[in-house]
Amino acid sequence: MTSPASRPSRATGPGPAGASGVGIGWRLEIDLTVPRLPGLDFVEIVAENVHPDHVPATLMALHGSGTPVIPHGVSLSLGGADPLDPAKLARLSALASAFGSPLVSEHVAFCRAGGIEAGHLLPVPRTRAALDVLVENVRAAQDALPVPLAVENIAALVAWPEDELTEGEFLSELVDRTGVLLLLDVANLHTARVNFGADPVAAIEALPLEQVAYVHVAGGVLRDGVWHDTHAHPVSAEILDVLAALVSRVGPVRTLPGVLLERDDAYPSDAEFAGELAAIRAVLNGAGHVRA
Amino acid sequence: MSARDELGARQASLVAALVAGAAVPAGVDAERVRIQAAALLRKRGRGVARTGPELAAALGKSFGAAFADYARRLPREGRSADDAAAFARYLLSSQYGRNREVRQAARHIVLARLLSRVSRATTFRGRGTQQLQSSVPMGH
Repeated sequence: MTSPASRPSRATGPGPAGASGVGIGWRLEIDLTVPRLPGLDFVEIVAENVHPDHVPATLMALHGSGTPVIPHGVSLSLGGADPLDPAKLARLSALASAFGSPLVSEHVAFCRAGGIEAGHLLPVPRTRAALDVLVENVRAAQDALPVPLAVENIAALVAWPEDELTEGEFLSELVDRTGVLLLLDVANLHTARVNFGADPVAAIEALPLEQVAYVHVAGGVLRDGVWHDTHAHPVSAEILDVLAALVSRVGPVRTLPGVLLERDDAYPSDAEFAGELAAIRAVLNGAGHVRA
Repeated sequence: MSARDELGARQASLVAALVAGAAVPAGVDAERVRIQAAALLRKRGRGVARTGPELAAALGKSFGAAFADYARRLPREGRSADDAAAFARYLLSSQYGRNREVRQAARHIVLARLLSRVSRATTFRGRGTQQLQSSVPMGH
């Protein structure tokens, strides 16, 4: 076990604006399941799917019971070359105001180019030139939003030959230049390990962990040697291991960030959901042993 | 060409390869592009089947082939519901529209989308976003 003295000298303390405990991605398909899940600490909503003027009653009740709600955008295209869409920024802002959210989140990705929608989050070339564009876009988003912004690492199947930086280096520099918070997806670190041979622990160690606002966990599937981040399969042990690696490195530095389970299809029973959340909670509690 | 424009052109080449059948950009793994393109097509098709289940049911086993024919010609615009309506319009003008059930389901979706747009344009206008009021008290 590593002693605290051997670590870089960072102040031990609370994390940034974010979430703590265990959360789940609120979806209309599971709106009656979510409030029944034991010990749920926060939820995330997909900004594109909730109109601030027509919030479903079940989500309104959850908000009313004091559960923090984090708006999560999936189509801002922060890593794209086009100027950001003011309507998408206004939607994120309106949801954050409506729910009193501590922050909003989006992705380090682009989802349209040349006037064509990809319908998916695609990887930004990790070059200095692309980083400059991303920095400008993140600053523009920060200026437009009423709360802090966190950005998430995505799951990719394709990589750019011109990549100059590792994902950890790219995200670290983005944080240095913008002060943006991180939404760290440990399943996507696993995806990068399978699809590109990128070491998730090396990525974790390269990141400014004090900037991690919260964490995503999701299941996927291995097909023909390629990892698909489906959000439709159970969370596998290798992904929980990446979470454990993160927890063991964050634990000595600061309070643990919240961890949120994402599920978007093939929804399981309430019991299976509760089991997945319990497994996540067990990894978080394991951090106590590391610190002791 | 500015750095932003160069980035845009590079990204456009990948998107075109993924959703419009264009050539794979130089240096990018063609097999991975094929896998990603297939995954995007499935994802898009699932979204359409979810918002237009009667259309998926009427097409049955032809859904995959019909949707691939459509998606190759028309990249996605807007949400799944818009995509489903555009798919329905495509079916009505294609050989699939000769099937009576497919025709009925497609007409229903086109009409329902039109009504929903009209309804959205005429209601809830002018209501500002406020702090949400909930009937459930805090602290429970």
